[in-house]
Amino acid sequence: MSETVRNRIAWIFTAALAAFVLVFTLTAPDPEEDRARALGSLIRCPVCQGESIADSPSQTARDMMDLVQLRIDQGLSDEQILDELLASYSGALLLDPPLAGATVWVWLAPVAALAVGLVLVARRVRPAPEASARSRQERLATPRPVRSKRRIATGAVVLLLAGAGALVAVGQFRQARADDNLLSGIAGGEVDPDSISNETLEAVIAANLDNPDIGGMRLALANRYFEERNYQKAFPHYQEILDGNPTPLQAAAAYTRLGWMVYDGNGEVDLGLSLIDNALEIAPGDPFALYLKGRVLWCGRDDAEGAAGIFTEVLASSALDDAVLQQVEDDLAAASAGESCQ
Amino acid sequence: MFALLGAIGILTGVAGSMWLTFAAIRNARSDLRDPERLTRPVWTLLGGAVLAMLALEAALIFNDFSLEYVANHHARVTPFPFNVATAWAALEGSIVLWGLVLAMFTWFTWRSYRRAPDRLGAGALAVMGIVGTFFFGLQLSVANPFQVCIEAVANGCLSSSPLPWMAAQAPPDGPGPNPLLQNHILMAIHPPMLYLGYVGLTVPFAYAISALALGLPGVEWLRRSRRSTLVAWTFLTLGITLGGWWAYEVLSWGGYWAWDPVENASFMPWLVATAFLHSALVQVRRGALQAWNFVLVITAFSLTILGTFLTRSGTVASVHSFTQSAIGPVLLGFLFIVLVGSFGLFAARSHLVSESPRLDSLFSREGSFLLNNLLLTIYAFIVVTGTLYPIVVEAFSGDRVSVGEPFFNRLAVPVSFGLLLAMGVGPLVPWKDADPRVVAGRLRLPLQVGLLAGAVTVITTSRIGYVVIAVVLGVFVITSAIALLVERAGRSARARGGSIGPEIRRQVRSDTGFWAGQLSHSGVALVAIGMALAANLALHGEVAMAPGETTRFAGYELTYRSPFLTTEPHRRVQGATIEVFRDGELVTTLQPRANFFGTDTSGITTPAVHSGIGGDLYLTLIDIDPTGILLRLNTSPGIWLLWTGGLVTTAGGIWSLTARRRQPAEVAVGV
Repeated sequence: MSETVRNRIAWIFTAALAAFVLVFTLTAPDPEEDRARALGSLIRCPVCQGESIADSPSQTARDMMDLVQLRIDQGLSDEQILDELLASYSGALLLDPPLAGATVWVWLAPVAALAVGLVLVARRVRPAPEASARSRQERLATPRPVRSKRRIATGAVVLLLAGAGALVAVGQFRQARADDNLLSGIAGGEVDPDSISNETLEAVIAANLDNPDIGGMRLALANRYFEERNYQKAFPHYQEILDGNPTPLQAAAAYTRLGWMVYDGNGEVDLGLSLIDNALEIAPGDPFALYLKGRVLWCGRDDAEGAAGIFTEVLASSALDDAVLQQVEDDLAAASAGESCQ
Repeated sequence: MFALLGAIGILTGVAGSMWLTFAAIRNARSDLRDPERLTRPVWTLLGGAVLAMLALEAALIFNDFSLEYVANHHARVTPFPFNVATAWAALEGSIVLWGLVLAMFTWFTWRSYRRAPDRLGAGALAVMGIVGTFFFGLQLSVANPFQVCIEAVANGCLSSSPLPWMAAQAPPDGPGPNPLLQNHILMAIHPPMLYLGYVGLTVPFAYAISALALGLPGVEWLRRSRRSTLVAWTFLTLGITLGGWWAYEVLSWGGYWAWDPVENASFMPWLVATAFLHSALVQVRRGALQAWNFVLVITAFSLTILGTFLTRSGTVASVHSFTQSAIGPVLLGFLFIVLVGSFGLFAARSHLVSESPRLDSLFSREGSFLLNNLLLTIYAFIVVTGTLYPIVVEAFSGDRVSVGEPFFNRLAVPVSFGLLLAMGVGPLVPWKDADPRVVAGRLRLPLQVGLLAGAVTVITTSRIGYVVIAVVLGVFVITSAIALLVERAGRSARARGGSIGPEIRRQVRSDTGFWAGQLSHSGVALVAIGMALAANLALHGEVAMAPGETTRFAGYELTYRSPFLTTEPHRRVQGATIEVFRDGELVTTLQPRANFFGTDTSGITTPAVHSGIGGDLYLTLIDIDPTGILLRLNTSPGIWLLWTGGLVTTAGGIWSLTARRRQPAEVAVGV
């Protein structure tokens, strides 16, 4: 057998292999599709960082997946299910940007870049032997101006500067819209949160559920309700704070006030004390938590002695303003005397 | 005391950087300057950086809570080595590590300058001095890790002062580092690896800027910076691999990569650095792509700054948090200065960059490098676009959009397949103008082996297109490298009349750089196969079990034995003991769990993984109460290929670093 024939047979064998693989792959049965999972992987979990609700083990994501399964069982279409999820969970976003509207360019830009790249590559290759020989001679004879490259580079610099200008302009513009963007305003220290009504704060919080900055603002709002003794409204906010990702100080503040509210509002002494103890575990020696614990012991359990001990501890801590100091001293005096609380 | 030491270290770092900048600029003006002039500034810089790092570590190890950084990111119970790693667990400390790594790279650059002092090397050191001034300046201003706590609370620090002599108030204890970061040992080593990669890219950038500023283009800057580029690339590769591994072992969603902006931040410079490694070779060998190399190296450096900006300014979570810390605007400003300054310099000096010779044919080694560069650049472009797009849309319109995994997968997978094909074909194609028949002859065997592997896959494993393509191309890449080695060794064995074994060794030794590259290619091929298997053949399930109950999943029988609860000094662990049987025989016992660190009440779910050649069994505890558990079940077929592939790719980088430098005679000098 000659070399060429052997060669040909080898290639025919290769082609046959390729055909075999190709046929088997193309005729593969459609994989059993897990529709809930496929849909879930398109939705960004509102409480996590960039995970889809199909992947995330968080409670919110699991609730959303249950909803997806329910709607599938009810026979709704993919589109209906996605629309409902996006509408009913604020902060849930489509992970797969649609080829329309604001996200059309994210698809088109890489395609455009590929086209430009292909043109650039083509231009780097010598056209044909004769033409290139001629052009080489020409190039040797007359040094080619390099203006074109320079122009491209200058253009790039101008573009960058324009981009920088645009960003600065946007910054200014956003500053002007500070009213619409209370959150950034407060975060940047431009807006005093005290000047904002409860309703506005509620709206801002509701619109920014997935924003990590929201914890502090929620705490401020909840504390405001707490001071107003509006426990109905304060309660869910403190719970949200604890369910989110609170700093230790935020968590302690929330536990303290939850503890006081279940005692003061519902008369649950034990639960109240255990919640306040949670706070004290997080922030040992926190004067406000200690003081409230003392009040609960005194008023709820008639444990004047225990309360007096705690009030003494409160007074030992440094950071108390005069009004509070007075209050605690009065309470201490009364509790030490064995009076019942008023 | 540590605050004072640290402040002295940072100040010394700033002073050393500025001193180096001025001295190096003077030396860059003429070849006749005394090279020893740079010795003291470099040692000052390095000394300052080391002192700052040591002061921070000592403060963490000796529980000096009078430092705000320690008070807010450390706890007495944080065990070794996590207390050491806390130094880079948050922004300020990570910039200290950045400064130290930069000082080390500066020192290495200075050492090679001292061996052969010239203007190019001095110029590069001047650029490194400028970058050093910026990063030590950051530590002095907006990211100062040695702030003294002046208002302590029970469990942290409320306000602080940058003046180290202020009377400090130390809280009794701190909250400890982010629980996610103290859950696995990989988190202690993965960030330094990435930083070595990021910061290493400063060296080629410095040489490029020096070459442009001094009007010394050519290949010298490429050859000088090649080692640093390789070091940077190798560490980036390792860092990315370890990052994926960590995510898999800790984040409990069963995946390893989610196209999260933080992950993309490390991947973008890797792609561009990979493109640069290849295109630099084209310039060194054939004198082409001169301007392109400048563009790539400036882009790679800028992407490391962009990545730091994205991960450290909080912009990713929301544009609104941009203004929370001053570091965001400062880094963005630096990025603009780098971009405008570098490309402006490039524009001003473009007349010195020669009109590169055109390629003889696209069907040649350099042609395949060109296509590989196109693909890698498009890849990087896709990642950059997808990462920045939501930020840009939100900044301009206030709307929130999300660009997630489906987008990246849809665009990146075809590009990856293209790259695999190029990796298999490219090394077989000769330089200049290839003879199609020679190439076809070399391609045949690898193609056959790849297709054979594909045929086995469709019969035994899966007929899903992605899996089959990945297997065919992956095996093709690996086989083509092996076949080429055997062919070359066989040819020279015939010519010398020796046997093939020693010839292979000789081949590998004489062209280590090339064969190390082939090893890295094989690693990438393994990664591709592993990814395709894990993404397409994984099984998912969820089951509720009471103690004693058994469930079947993916050929295993899982029995829930009992819940357990343990307390360690720094955490409480709550979990479930599950016995895994296969065909009635006990395979292993797994304990998926939730870890509670310090005062954290929500708990970090930590999966339990049983690894095997066929794939992993991956259990996540979703919920547990006395009546039973809710368990998420996953399999990850072939995932070990991914880790192995990443390590093999890294090994290729390390191996090529051991290669002797090419002789100048082999180099085609482009003027």
